Amino acid sequence: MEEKIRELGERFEAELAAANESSRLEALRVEFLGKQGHVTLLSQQMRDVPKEQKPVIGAALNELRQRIVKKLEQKVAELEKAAEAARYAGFDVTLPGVPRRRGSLHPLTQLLLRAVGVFRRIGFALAAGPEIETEFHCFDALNTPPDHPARNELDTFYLPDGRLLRTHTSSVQIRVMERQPPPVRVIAPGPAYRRDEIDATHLAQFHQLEGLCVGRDVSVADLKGTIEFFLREMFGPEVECRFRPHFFPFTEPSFEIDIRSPELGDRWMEMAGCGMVHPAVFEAVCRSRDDRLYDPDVVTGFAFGFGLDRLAMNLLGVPDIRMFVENDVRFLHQFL
Amino acid sequence: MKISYEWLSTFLSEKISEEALAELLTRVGLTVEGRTQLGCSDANVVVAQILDSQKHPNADRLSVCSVEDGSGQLRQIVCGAKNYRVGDKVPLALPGASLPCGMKIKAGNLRGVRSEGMLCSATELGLPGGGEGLLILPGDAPVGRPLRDYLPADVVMEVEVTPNRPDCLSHVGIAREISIFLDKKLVYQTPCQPRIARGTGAAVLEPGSGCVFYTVRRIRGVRVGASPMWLRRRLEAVGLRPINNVVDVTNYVLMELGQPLHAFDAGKVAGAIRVRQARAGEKLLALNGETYELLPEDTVIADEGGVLALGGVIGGEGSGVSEGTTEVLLESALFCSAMIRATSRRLGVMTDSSYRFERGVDPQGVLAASARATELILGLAGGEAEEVVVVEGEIPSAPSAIRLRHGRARSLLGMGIKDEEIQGYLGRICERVGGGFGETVWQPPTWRMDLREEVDLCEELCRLVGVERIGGRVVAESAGASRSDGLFDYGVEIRNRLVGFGFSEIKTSSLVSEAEAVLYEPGYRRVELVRLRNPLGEEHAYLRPSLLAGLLRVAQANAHAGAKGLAFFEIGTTYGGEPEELLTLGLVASGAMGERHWKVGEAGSYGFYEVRGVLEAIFDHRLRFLPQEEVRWPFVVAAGLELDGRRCGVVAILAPSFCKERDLVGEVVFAEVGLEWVAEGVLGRRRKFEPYGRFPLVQRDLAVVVEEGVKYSTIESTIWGVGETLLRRVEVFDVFRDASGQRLGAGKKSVAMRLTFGSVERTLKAEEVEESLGRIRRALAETLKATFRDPQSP
Repeated sequence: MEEKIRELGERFEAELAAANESSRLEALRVEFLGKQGHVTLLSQQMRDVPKEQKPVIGAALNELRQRIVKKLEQKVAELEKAAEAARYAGFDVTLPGVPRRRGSLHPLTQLLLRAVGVFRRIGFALAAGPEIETEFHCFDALNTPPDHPARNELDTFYLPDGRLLRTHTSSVQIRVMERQPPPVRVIAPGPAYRRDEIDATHLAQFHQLEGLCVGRDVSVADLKGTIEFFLREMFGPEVECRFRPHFFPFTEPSFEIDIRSPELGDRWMEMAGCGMVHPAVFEAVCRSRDDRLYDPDVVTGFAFGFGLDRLAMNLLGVPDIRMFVENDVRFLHQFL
Repeated sequence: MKISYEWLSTFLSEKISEEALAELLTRVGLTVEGRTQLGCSDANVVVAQILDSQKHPNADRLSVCSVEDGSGQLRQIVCGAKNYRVGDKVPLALPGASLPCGMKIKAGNLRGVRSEGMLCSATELGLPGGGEGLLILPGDAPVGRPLRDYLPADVVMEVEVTPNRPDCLSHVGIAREISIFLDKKLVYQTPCQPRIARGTGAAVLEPGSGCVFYTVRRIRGVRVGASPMWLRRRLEAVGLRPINNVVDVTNYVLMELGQPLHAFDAGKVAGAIRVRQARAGEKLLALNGETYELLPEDTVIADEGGVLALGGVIGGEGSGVSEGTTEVLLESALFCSAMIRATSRRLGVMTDSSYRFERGVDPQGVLAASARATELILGLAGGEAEEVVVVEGEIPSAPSAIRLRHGRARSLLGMGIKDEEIQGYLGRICERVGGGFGETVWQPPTWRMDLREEVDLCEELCRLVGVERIGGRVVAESAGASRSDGLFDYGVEIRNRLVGFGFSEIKTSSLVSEAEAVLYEPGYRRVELVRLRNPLGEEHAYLRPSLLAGLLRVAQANAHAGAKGLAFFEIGTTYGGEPEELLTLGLVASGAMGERHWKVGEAGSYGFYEVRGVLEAIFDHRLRFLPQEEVRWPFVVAAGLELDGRRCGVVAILAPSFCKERDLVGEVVFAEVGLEWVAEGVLGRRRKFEPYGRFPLVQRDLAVVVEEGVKYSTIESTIWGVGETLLRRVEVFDVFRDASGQRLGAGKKSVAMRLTFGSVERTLKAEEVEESLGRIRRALAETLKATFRDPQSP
């Protein structure tokens, strides 16, 4: 009996080795383990085995059955792996993928996102105001007298009702101070309009980023530090900033900010206007609010305005401002 | 303003290089915007005299000149110019010279004749007033000397003078500013001023004329002629054309001191000079050849015969100084800036004079300028000045003194500057007239009309100290998010989602043409078109009520450029109506959604349902799409968008005929949403966990046959209307129409849907799902007369 078990084991091994298809393995399973299979039939002969040998023979038979099951499983898995490998042999990973079209953010939006991120890191919140503005918010409150050249119809777009399209985002300064008490730390991005003939560096509508900070003891040092921080974050640590004394009716002292860096061609480029909020602006706000919360003897502040289009032109090396509004995909998709 | 480096330098006590000057001016706030080299500084360009000129043997257009160059030997030069005579003195560039125009001079043969240098034109030497031919030098030019000794080279700087600093609109003004910064003395000697005479009757100043202070001085026996070289050169350097010695002097003093002057030919003035308002209908033929019609708000200088000049703006052709003039009336006056500005604007004439009066002229400089000009005229044109200056009106009083709190200055500037330092700096500009503990009182000079209050002195201090001495300080403070922050972030989120779906962001102008403005009237909000009162042109006359026009413009341009598959969006303001400004999202899509691929084949195209899918996804399925019965051109299909019961936008198919005109092929879909409104529902929204079913879901398909006119939304709302609590989801998977009419019947359609049932509490029993489905079927049958295409019809 033991001999038979051993022979059957050897026979299985031989047949298994010859089998190389899964159907053949199934046949083997039936042939050995099925109801009429060799192992089953051999098991039936247990009846004739003397009682004292039964545990040994039984164990041997059981071991044989288990071995066959296990070997069959192993072989099935082997064949499956081989089949998979054959199926994927020669798969060409170098062919291009199925294209997923992604759009793009407008370069001005991308720039604005960076700029807003920088100012948010030093505690500026966003603010907004209307583009169709009153003369009060755009000029009077900003210490710009009625006969100031900027206010004439050659430079400013007017509506039939006497209101105008804001010529700068500085009007948001007034809107914010009317709305909330000091301290103020806000930035306000948005379009502004000037009656400029359109050319490679001018559009009638352009984009500005305004900033206003008002509180106790806000000084030129704060203005400088803030602007320098922003420019270094935007243009890199090697950028040089220059504060050039200038004149704006609504700030005093006023400056224009130039930057220079090897990356930008190593020449001074005008980036923004800024200055300390003029006391007359605070007085106008006080009158408008009908309180003294913005008393210029109590609070001081700084304001700045960046031209985003110009900033983007310089950062991206765009030669013509009109490209930003032409929106050719060959332009837009360069800035994915 | 143009300034001459050479001229300016004469007022500085110390030589300062042109480079350093430009740098300093910019640092002071007088930005140098450009620099031009004038004349030649090369020692190899010398004064030569032409002693002989012969025709070139081999060239008709050339001559061969013998010139004296100071060496004692004659030099042979081949020359192409024709404008000289033998004996003329001209500039000669010797071999080795390099000229401002970039030319390097070498000796050589021209058409076989030796030429040892080049005779130069003004243009070749970088001098203004060029023209054709050689620069003929005056007879006093010293032969053999370098030209630069006779005609020094100069640099012209274009300086930006801000409107608050009219005192810097002159060479002396700028030199004064430089001297203050260098803490040096200004080199300028004010000439002695003559006695003044009032009420002589020679000049009458009418009240309300717009002139505050008027002076006139008579100079007899002048000989009008050309100005000397030095004067002509300085005028040309700053961009003025020399005319004659008297007129040139008035311009010269204007550029030197900033006080506009005018010289009348006394022979053409009848009777007394009257300074008055113009009378309606009066006209003036001005020196620029234009005739101006005047109004009472214009200030005129008149005589018995009528208007002589437009006061402070421009002189008249009839009374100007010319060759034959022998007697001059020299006017120096102070005109009201607002009136000058109004006149200059209205008539569209801006002169060096009006520019300065508009900004403000030093009242104390009026008589000084008159004296200076008199001195120059007498020197250049001879004659004799009347002993007295006729004066009418009053010099405005000096500005008041300003108190400066030193603590205030320190805290505004953010620097610890000492009291003595403050006084030292301000003392260079103002006169100290008082003070106390921690404060000083200052009297600004009459030309500094911009110094009126404390902050003005702080600014002066900041400029003088130099902003570079103030250390930057960054204070970061907490800043709570505002509504604007929320809206901004929501806009960014929507942008990023659209970019993920293949849309590219564009930005277009808010200003559109009338045709673009009326292209489409948003039905979701009340719009009133806004037209600008003074547009730049009809192309940009209106504020856009919708983003459609801009999107189409960009789509069309890109289609023309060959782009395949257009998918653009813009987030920007639309205008007019209620609200007046609305942050709006617009998008347009057409053509292939992607590229052709070797495995997948052609990508699908954008159509209505593709765009609707994008809108559903980016707005988290919060929008409802309502059928719009009345569809107006240029749309052929339109759906209203609704959010929480409020109309907030539109999605539409553009009419193919409309698109064809714009070379857009295939279905073009447009959508527009009031982004601000959608954001309102999202800002500050807090998401809360909702339990989801852990029990299996049961799905049943249902094919509903209804009349063609029944909208899907009606079917779906009918299903939901039954109120089945176990129903979780309704999805359409097929819409079928039978053209033959055999399987569905004419005018019918079949809408196949998958209904999903489930419970968060338990596994559903088959019977309860069937019962629920049965109720739904009955409701559809009753309300919509629906039949069903599966065997289980009720």
